[in-house]
Amino acid sequence: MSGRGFLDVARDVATKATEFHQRAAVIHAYYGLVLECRDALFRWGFAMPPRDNVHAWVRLRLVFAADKDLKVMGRALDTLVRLRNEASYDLLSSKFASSAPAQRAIQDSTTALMLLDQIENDPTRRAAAIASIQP
Amino acid sequence: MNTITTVPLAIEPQAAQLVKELGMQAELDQMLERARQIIPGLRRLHVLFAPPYDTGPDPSVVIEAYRDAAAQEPDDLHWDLYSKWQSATISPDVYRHLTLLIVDEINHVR
Repeated sequence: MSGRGFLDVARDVATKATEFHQRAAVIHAYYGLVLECRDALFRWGFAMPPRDNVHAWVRLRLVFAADKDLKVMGRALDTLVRLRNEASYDLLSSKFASSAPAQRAIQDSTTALMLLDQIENDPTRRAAAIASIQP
Repeated sequence: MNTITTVPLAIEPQAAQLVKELGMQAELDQMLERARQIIPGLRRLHVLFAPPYDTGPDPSVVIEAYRDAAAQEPDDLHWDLYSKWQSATISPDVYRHLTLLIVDEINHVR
């Protein structure tokens, strides 16, 4: 099972109009990306320290990588995690009455996953990206 | 380039308190100043408190840099510049607590 399956769920629930569905779409869009990034880091040989928080660990690895595309992915996670927290916990927020946040989250997650795939499918590109990540 | 006097800055009291507790005022000031220098079309800066949800172990502070969406370049070169500066200047330990996000605004001025 791959994390990006959650992005399909995000697209599915985003078609429903209720605020609950719009919030769920944001949440799934975030998880689709963060799980794929986590698993890529594992595949690339990085190990998460036992006491670290997986969300922060993944974000920091990407944001502080020298590779530009990894930084873009880290930036997407920085934005999406904030939106995900708001969607999951801030029930007073009126932001999700509109479909715009969910659509943006799905787009950002999709774009970041395309970058990840480009890196993954090109051995030279992948080696350079891995070398740019701080342990 | 933007100047300090033309970019409004708002800091939530809870965010200011956390920055003080963490002893990261200098780092926050550095990040704000760099954002003012680098981000074209910057309209305002908003410093928010972010509670410690399950996606990170600590409470943190988020700097929202509101930018005129029309000022964004195709490759977002200025964000790339900021990001490189940040990686070279701000440690991951600081970044865990202080994060800058660029928010594009379309025809919306407060």
